[in-house]
Amino acid sequence: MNSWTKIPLDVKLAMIILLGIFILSILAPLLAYEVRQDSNAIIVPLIPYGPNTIDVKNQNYVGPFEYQLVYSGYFRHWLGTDKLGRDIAAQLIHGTQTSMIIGFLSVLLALIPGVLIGLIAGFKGDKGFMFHWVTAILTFIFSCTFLFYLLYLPVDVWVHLVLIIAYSSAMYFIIGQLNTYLLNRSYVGFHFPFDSILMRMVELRKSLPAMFILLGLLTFFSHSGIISLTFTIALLSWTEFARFTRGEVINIKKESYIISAKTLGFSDIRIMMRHIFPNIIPTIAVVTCFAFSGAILLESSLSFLGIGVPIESVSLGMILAGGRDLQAWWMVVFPGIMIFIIIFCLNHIASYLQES
Amino acid sequence: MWRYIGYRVVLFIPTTIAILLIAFLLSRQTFDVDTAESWLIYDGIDPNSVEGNKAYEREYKLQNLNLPLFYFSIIPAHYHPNLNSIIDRQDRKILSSLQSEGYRCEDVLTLLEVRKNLLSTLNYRIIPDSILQALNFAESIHDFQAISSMLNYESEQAQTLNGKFHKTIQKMEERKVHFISPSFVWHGIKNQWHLWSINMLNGNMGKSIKDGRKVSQKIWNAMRWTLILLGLNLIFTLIISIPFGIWSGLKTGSWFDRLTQSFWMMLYATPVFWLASMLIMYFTSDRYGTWMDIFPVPGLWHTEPNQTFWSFLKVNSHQFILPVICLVANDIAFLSRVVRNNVRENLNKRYTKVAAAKGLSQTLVLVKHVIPNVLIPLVTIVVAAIPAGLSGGLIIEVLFNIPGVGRLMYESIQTQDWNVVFSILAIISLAVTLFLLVGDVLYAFVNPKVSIDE
Amino acid sequence: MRVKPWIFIGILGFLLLSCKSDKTNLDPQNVLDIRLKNDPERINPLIFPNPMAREVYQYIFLPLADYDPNTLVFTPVMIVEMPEKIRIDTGHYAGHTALNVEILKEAKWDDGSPITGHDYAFTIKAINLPLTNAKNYRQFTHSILDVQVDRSNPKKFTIIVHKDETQFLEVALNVEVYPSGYYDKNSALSTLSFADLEQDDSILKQNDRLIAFAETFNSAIFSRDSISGSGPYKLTSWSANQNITLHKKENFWGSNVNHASVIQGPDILRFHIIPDELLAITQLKAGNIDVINEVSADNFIALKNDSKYADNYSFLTPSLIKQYVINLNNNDVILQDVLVRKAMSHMIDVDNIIEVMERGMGRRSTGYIHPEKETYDKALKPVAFDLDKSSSLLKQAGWTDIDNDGFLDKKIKGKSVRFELEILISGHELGKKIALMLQENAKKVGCKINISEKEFKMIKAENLKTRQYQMVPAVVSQDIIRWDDLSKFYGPNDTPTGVNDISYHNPVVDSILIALESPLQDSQRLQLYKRFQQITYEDVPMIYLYSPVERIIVSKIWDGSATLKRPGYLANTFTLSHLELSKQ
Repeated sequence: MNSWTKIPLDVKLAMIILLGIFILSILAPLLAYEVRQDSNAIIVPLIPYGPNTIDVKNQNYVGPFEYQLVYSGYFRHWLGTDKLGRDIAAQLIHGTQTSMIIGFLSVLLALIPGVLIGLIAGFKGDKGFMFHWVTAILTFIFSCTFLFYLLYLPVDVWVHLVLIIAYSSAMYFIIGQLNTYLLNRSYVGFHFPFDSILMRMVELRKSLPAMFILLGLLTFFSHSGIISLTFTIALLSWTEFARFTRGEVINIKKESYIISAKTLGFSDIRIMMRHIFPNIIPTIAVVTCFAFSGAILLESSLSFLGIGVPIESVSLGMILAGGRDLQAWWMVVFPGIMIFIIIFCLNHIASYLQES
Repeated sequence: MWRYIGYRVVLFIPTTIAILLIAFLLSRQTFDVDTAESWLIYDGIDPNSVEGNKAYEREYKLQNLNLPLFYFSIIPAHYHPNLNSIIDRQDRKILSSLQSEGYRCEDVLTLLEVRKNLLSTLNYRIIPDSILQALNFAESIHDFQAISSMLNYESEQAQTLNGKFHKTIQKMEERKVHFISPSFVWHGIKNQWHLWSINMLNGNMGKSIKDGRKVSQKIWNAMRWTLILLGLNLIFTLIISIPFGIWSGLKTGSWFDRLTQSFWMMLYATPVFWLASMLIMYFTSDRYGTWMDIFPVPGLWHTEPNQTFWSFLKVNSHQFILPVICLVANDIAFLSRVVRNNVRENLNKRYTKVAAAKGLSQTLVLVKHVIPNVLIPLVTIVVAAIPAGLSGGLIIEVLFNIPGVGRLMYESIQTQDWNVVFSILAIISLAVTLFLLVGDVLYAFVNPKVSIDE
Repeated sequence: MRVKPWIFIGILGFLLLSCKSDKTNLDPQNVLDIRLKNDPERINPLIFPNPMAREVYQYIFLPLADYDPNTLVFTPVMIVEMPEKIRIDTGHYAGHTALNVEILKEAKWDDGSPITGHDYAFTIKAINLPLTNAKNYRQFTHSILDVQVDRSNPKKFTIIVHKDETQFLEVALNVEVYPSGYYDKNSALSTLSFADLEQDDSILKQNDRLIAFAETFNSAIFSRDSISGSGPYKLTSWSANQNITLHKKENFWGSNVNHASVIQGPDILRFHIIPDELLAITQLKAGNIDVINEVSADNFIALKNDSKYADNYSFLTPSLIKQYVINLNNNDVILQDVLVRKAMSHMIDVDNIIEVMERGMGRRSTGYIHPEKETYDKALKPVAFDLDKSSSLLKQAGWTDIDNDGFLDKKIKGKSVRFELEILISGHELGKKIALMLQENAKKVGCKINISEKEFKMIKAENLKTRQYQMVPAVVSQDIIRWDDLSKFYGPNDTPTGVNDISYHNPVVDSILIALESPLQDSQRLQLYKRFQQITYEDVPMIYLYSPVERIIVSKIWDGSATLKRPGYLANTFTLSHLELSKQ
């Protein structure tokens, strides 16, 4: 890893801008909320409007440089208003927050399983898991009953959930012990092709056009919402994490220090966490950057088409879509620039990481 | 090599099944809600009418919605073996919610029967509107209990039925299940998945709810447009990105490399829909200055009667300019970067250095050694970029009014024409998988060293 | 390597420059280009009387009589004169109404054969045959009991309408007539009598010829591929999702007929399907499109105020017989109180909505009856936007902020209920905006409004039909007919299959609606309609918003006028303006 001083200036700049946008989106509720004109509050926000505050006096698209009917300069709409008279600046800040939340959560949801699976698949390969046929059958039957009770027991009683999970983890542990015991006695077993299965899933995902699948998957949720959108994007992007992690792990596995660690008899988990994981962080960082910008682009495209984010929460794509029909340039330019900056910075950092 | 190709072809089968399964499961999720009803609207019947109920039953059976979903199911023993066979939607909903609360399905069915009898005997002249209303729309067990207590002191005429209603609810409570035990139900091949996938593989995708045309015909008509768009996109992206990529690769780090790379990155960071809107808004008319009137106005397709598809394309070719620009702008960044990095890598390889040392001119080295080694792997990359191209095409088709698959998908989702939506989903995915397969096989011919492990 | 980077840039620049717009004028003169918002899907008015399809099929198919687009009087189109109502005294149909109709002598189909009573009889049979999908029409035409064609002159025939039918003229004559020789080549229906149609479905279903006929009639063949009618235009090409072309018929029979629907105007009507409004407006400005309707208010005003373009277009704003309302669930725990419903109606700033959404182009309504109708009660005043009033109404209804969380609460049946309502919206732009504005206003009074988004079909199936909702904004599309159908407010219709999806129960309204069923003098009927409006005004079973206007932009190349009839203009009445003619 390079130290901070070695990083070129433009990448530093991109990082700082991204950090700024990140802070802006975290602080969104503090930066823009509704303030009444007669309020005597001492602490006032940067923008005295919430994202859905309707200013009746400035409806029907008032531009930033046009005459505005406002109480004082503080209440001016610096980036104009939309059709209903909502402040674009406030919407922009909150929209960035929505985009960031979706980007962040979907990356997180994809990263954890993706990296874990990739790590295991890369390290263990197809020959890493051996099953005795008795335990294989036992696992199958037990998994079926486990899924059955998970599905049909009323989950709103949380005791049920805890019981199921505790019981099943105990069972899986016992089965695992049984497996090692049986395998030690006789070698009648088969390998579980973990790696091949993962690669088939990766291939399947690669052959599906994201936008079509996303539209198809979103019909699965009766209510459009940030959660469902995040979940679907994560479902589509975890394979990328798994794929790159796996590739990198396979490369590192051949290094002499891993082989020596193995001969020293370190446990697999220790080797994976202590020796391999730190070395794949740069790769994960690159994929993360691309996945983040991809998620933000997908979200804004979907909101632009009118699918995805519910109308109460603002998103950058929604502001854009609102301004497209009429030529309210301030509703097209500002969110457009915001999306552009986020994605450009992310990609710039990613390509720098990729090269170094 | 042949082993590799055989392996790829065999793998195509589970992939096909997986894709069909995904499309099927998604389609059932939505079908269950309103397919039958959509067909009623298509047939010109108001679903909120007495006639609508009869027709709903007919449509429901016609669409095979009364069949079980899969070959078998594992459900709690007190559940109804096939919930789909309950045709009335309200009954189905009540049954599904009550049996998940632990009431036995036979008991719930009796309750529904009694309720139906009550509704047909009672009318608003005998008992107050409010009770009738409650009986009509009751859903939870609490609703039913409340009604049974209300009914008690109402008219004598319905007294016997009331008693039965009361008893049924009591019996339900008594026989409530407290421990769920699993049961295995075998349905056989007469199930929705079987029929659906067989139809799909035979190319029989049913009719569109919107206009009654065959789904396959609709998709084929739209597919031509998408393929043209995709082809143009690929051609122009390659034309632009290969020379730029090679030049950048040769002069890595030069002003030209840095300038073009950051320019492509900027284009890549510009959302397609944003670029498209801006171009349409400002660069298709002389509203903001005569010099800005650069592009033809998109979205209008001139057709004459009895025109062939190709002559039609000739007349309308200028319509593709803007959409292709938007698509290409997004794809250059990726491809030119790949070419650039490949060139750089190849230049650093030993054989190029040896060739240069042998006294070959730089151009010759480039043409003879580097370029083939850069372009051949490009085949797989280009093929792998097809899904992304289709995705980008969707939004472009919507924005530029191109009647391709993307727009068909988008509009069908809006009108809930699920037959079309999920057929497109399955077909597009299958087509892309096939493309990838062909790409892999081609690559195996070009590079016979490829093995399964790769 | 001596390749210069600017060669690439040069090539790129060349590619860009070669895209200069080639505005080739492919049009021959006298072509009217019209923008359609969606593909009309099917052109078969009997089975698909959809407003989008109507924009196209009204030039292809003609009814016997239709409303005049200017005066809105029901006038003859293909018949000699309006028939008199005759009461039959004797015979099988004693007591019912007979109408003696004669079709114009010159009226003929495309193949030259005359339009006769047999064609009319075929049309009615095709609708009433339970196997066809013409159920929308059937609910009206089932009251046509028989059609008796004169043996000596097939142009003359008698229509027998059921005695209870009040709208007998419209029911009998406002039906698009189909050529029987074209749609029924095997004469499957000619031997079928009207009495046979009354038989049970199962008997008809055994008749193979009838089934074959119905299947073809319902299929895409007769709603896309082969279409033929008596109108002034014929369909010549239809590329799905792109465009539809209609050509003027040569030697058309209707040159002497005095009705707007029969006029032959432009040589070619070309409909372009452009869903996106930005594209449509750009095309309009580029001169590729002459007529565009259903324009959003913003674009309409923007173009009107645009000094560069405004002179090239005429801007038409005919009224539309439709209204926007918010359906309330009158059986809901919170909304069943009249005071609460009233308070809700005071929370919506309808004038502001009209100002914002329609740029002032809309008319407030006070009830279910459209303000353009003669039955409309002008004495009622639109509900004012008054948050103080709704506050006091809610206080009167017992709502106070008990737990000081900023939202009102009330003890209902021992339980403390928070004033929290859910508004279900579909993708419609107006619904979204209304919901957001209502949410903001309601917050000030102490009511929490949650917005949920769902497909309208789903809302209908899952919420309206099961009454599992609180508020749903909706469009009420009505007809030009004189007496509106009010069964939505009839208490016993509050069943899963009934139309009273607002669960409205009022014994007085029920009795009025029962009284309206019987034959009445027009003045008495008018009285009852007014009384109905007064009651439903006080009861607020739904919140009435406003009725919008249609917005149409027509290029000045064409002379054309607007009409109250949907879609607001008649393209066949358009003529090239003198300005344009003098240029040639």
